[in-house]
Amino acid sequence: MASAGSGDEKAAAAAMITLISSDNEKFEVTEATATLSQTIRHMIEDGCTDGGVPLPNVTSKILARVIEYCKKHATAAAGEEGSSSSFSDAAFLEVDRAFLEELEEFDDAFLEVDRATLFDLILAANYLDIKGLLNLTCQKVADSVKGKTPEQIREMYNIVNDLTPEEEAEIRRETQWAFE
Amino acid sequence: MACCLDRKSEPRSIASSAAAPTAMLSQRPQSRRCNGDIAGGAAASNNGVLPNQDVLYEILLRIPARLLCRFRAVCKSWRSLLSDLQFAAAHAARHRGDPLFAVCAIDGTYGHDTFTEIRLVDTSGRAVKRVKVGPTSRCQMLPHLDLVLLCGMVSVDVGVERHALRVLDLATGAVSILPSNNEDTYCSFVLGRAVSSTGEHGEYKVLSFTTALVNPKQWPFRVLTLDGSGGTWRVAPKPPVSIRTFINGSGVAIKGIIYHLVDKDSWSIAAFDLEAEQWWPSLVQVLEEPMPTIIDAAHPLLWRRSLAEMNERLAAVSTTSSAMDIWLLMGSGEQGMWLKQCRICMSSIQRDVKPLSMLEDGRVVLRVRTYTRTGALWIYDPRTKSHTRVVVIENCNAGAGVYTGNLLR
Repeated sequence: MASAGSGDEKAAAAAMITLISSDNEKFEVTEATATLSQTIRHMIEDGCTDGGVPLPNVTSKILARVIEYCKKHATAAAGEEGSSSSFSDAAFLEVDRAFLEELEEFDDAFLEVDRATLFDLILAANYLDIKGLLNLTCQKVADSVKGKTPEQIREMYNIVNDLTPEEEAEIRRETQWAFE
Repeated sequence: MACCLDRKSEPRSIASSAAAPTAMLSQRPQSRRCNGDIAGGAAASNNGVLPNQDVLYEILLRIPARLLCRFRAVCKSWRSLLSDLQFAAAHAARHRGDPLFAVCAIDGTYGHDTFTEIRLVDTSGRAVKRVKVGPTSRCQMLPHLDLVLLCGMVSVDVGVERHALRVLDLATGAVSILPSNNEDTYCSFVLGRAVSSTGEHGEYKVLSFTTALVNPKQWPFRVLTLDGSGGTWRVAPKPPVSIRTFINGSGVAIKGIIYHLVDKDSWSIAAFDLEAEQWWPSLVQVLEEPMPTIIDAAHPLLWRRSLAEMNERLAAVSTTSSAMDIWLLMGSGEQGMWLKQCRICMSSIQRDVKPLSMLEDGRVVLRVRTYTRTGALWIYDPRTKSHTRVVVIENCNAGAGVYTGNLLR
């Protein structure tokens, strides 16, 4: 792809930020969406986003999903700020509740991905420092390992057991209660 | 997952995996950078293999401690991360809102083959850990941070019991026997952990008080340091005033200080510093007398004062037959302020009650004892004046307490 937008384009979209994925695809997002990432927020504050923000660790496929998440949640954040002054208004509360439910549904649907994509999302959330997304994705993995044995964990994640039989026996002896 | 792991160095080091062609994520920028390029490195898919230690760290932080102990047996890198003290501290900080309670359950038959089991239960009543501590009877249990002090009779031979003081480490299940102080049966004990003037945790110590009503002055206060070497009981200095409440379990240890009510008729509290092994020269006063506003005329004698530890603060607990008022000492030392926390309507409970902990939403966890040996943990909601029973405690005489230790140690 060509270099970042010309001066005219920038003037037309003052609050837009260009994110560039590892495979050089460009994504135009609003500042409100981009600043869900603490990493990008710091760059914007420092005025370092001219010419776009290269994200060499994030593929276009994953970046598109991350932006989808940020757009939805940036709207949610804006909604909260807007309604805080009129929280006593029942109509607003009703709208808020409906919106929160919608957001939960969005999050649930968002997590319906294969394991490789989930891990890529975690990596991207960690790298871009997006707390909500990191929490959402990590909790999904954490929930999936509850109730599993060490053997099942190794199988699920292709982990090679490099403990000697003696070491493993010792761990099991020390933490026998945790296996009951 | 043959990953190198270095959690102790900051900023987070990102380990690469030798086992799979995983993403090489470079360091998250710790300082703001101005060249537009956040970090170098190539993107790659991870094939569903846990990508790196940073991600693993974030995931494992969200798993309950009991499961994590089991997961130490997955591989070497998991073992080292899950045995790391900094990880344990971060995990504990994240799960602070889910307190665990140590309760004592006796299984087996009475008389012979009796053994004591200490259980850790969560606020839903689920046992997250059970530790058997051998044949014991009339056991008293005092948890403090990582340890539990057990005072009771231990079988030494068939049909022969003697009094013993033992210490249980709930994370490891290890039990050690403490040296006798000769008058064990007439003493009450408080387990605490010294805190230095700079706020560092020091050694665990036990302070013993006599509970003998005859000539209590003949038996001084004694201190024992739990440093693993056995050690001997040392005579502690005399308190600034004579202490006349010799009830078992009447002292409370909070952040290196043992507090003890001086008598039954006032809120004067003597304080013993475990690090200095000295009593504070002046008594702690409850400035605003937490007098109950409802005194039950029919049962005036049912009003009593007691001390408790709640959420790592000293609690003054005033109980009548109709209400329990809980005051917490805010701030530290002699400049502390007493703040009323809540009132528990006893009419809905009508039993021997001890407050254990206040949850983040204002509900209070209570140990409730019936007139038999059984009891229960209840969660009381002051707003609705209602309670739910969390778990039945078979041997309530032994006590119950909040476990503030770390199972991942």
